[in-house]
Amino acid sequence: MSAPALSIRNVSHVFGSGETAFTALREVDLDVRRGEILLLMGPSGSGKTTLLHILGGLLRPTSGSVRLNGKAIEHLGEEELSALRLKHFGFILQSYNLFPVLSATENVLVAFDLMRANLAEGRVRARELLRTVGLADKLDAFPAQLSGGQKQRIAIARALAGDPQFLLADEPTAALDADTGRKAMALFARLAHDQGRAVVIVTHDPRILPLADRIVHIEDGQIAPASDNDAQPPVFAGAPT
Amino acid sequence: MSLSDSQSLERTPGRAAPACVWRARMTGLIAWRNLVHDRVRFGVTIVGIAFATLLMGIQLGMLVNFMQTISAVVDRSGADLWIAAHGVKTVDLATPLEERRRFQALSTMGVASAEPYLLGFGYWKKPDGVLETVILIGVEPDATMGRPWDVLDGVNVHDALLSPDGVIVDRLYAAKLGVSRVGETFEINDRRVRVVGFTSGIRTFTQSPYVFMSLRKARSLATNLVHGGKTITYVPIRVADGFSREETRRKLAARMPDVDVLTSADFSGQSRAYWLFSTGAGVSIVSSSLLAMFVGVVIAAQTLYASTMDRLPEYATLRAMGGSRFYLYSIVIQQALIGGAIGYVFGMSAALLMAWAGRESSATPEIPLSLVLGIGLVIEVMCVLASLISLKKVTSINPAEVFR
Repeated sequence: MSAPALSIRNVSHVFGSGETAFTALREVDLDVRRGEILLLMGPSGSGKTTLLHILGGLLRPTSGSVRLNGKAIEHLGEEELSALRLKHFGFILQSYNLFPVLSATENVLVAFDLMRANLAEGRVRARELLRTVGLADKLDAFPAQLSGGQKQRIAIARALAGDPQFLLADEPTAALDADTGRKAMALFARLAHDQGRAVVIVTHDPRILPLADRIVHIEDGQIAPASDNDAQPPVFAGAPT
Repeated sequence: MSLSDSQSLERTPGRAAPACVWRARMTGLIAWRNLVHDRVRFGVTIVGIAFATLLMGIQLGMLVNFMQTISAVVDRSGADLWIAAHGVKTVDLATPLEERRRFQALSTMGVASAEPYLLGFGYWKKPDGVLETVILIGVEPDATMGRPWDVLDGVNVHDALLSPDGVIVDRLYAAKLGVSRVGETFEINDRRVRVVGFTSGIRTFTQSPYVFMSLRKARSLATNLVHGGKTITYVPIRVADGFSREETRRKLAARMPDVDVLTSADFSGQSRAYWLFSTGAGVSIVSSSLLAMFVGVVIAAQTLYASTMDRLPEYATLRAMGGSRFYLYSIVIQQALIGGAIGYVFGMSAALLMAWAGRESSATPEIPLSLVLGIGLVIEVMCVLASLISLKKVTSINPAEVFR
């Protein structure tokens, strides 16, 4: 396993102030390494989504440090964080959040547009990515014409468009059936193990556990004691290698 | 799902393109699709903007028509200055003036020519006996200022005004006056007149048609005006080459302090201001145009806001993906501009069609190119203003919300 590409130290985050203040994270330390699949698990309200936000540069911590490839990012402004996300992160969301008015290719193309890539090249790349995730026959389909699994694959293709170092996923298999969920996880495994990307997944789905390189449990805003963490669960039988 | 071609995922983003071309194409596409996605809302937006454009086009077109019409006899007279009775408010409401003012003007340094001009009201009797109020305009047959313009069928104005009882009326009012052809005779103030020619497009704000005739004939008809040696109503003046209009006006005013000496521009403006603002006609037109614009803003703002609210999760996703605020703004603003442009095209087309259909009527909107372009600009600005509420919403988007 390589050196941490993303690390947080003593990170705390408080929502609100005064009597209504709510501490979502308390002095959390965590490293994310290239080539690993890291699962963030824990009960609802435990702070795992807040942790994912901070890891992905969507939220600045109230205190503590966040270092990306050795550089502190916790003090960056909103637009700087936005540029940083564009360059280093890909997001895969439970509800996909695709533009319903754009075709599969165009949804991926938007990511290239954000990077100011050339239109013609971007279109070719978008189609390549969609073919790679198994949507060769749905390039011009609109989200409303596709199943949940197919939409998820568009979201994955979109997240990969910027060649991100980190893929952050929020319940990526929650809306998928068992077979499609397994295939999605196999894809994540390849992205992490074959291509050296770091994949961080917030999930409640036990089907994912066998694919994880590391599982971090969060409870009451803190990382739970080490017994369950840093586990190396076996790769489950159905996962392609 | 497969990942057979894993190498294809290991890549760097494509070559950067000129931002203006590329960004316009994707944000423009999203804006367009957002706009037309909900057909009903799109229809409401377009109808609202088209309605605002149509109302503005018609109302402002009427304003232009009125402004041109009110002062047409001054603007098209060819005169540099006008002498009028003291306190004149508008050219159509003339009061008597002694003709000696003309000779006083002629003996003033800087005046190249000064001619008699009479304007007054009369009653035109139609063949069925019905009376129509008309505005008589009398000038010398060899006058160089104040003659009728846009005369049809090559009629020689000098000869027409010299002919006995000859008068020239406008085609637009022929039906109103019961005139069907040249040569017909009628009565004004119980005296015989004969139509010897037509003009084209000389409208009047009061809808009482202008009737051009010789000064002599006009004096014989406008008996109510001509008394006590006051045999004219205005003296149009042309300033000699090399002399300043304003300087000559001051000299004339100094010499004749008991009358008004006005430049054509001032007389024209004063005439317009009287009808448009003293009577409330202009205020009514301008306020209805503003109201139309307000209606357009409200409709555009409401539909744009609803559309933006529908797309908030997608906008938040774009933010999370690394899209700048400007990227989101450009989608919303382009949506507003595209909607505005489409509504404008429909609305302005309808306004121009209505103006064209009414071209033969006595009161029709005049929509010159400057007004067409000006309304287009106002509509687009209006739509961008309407998008401000949506932009405020987009500004407040928290990209972290995509994970909720």
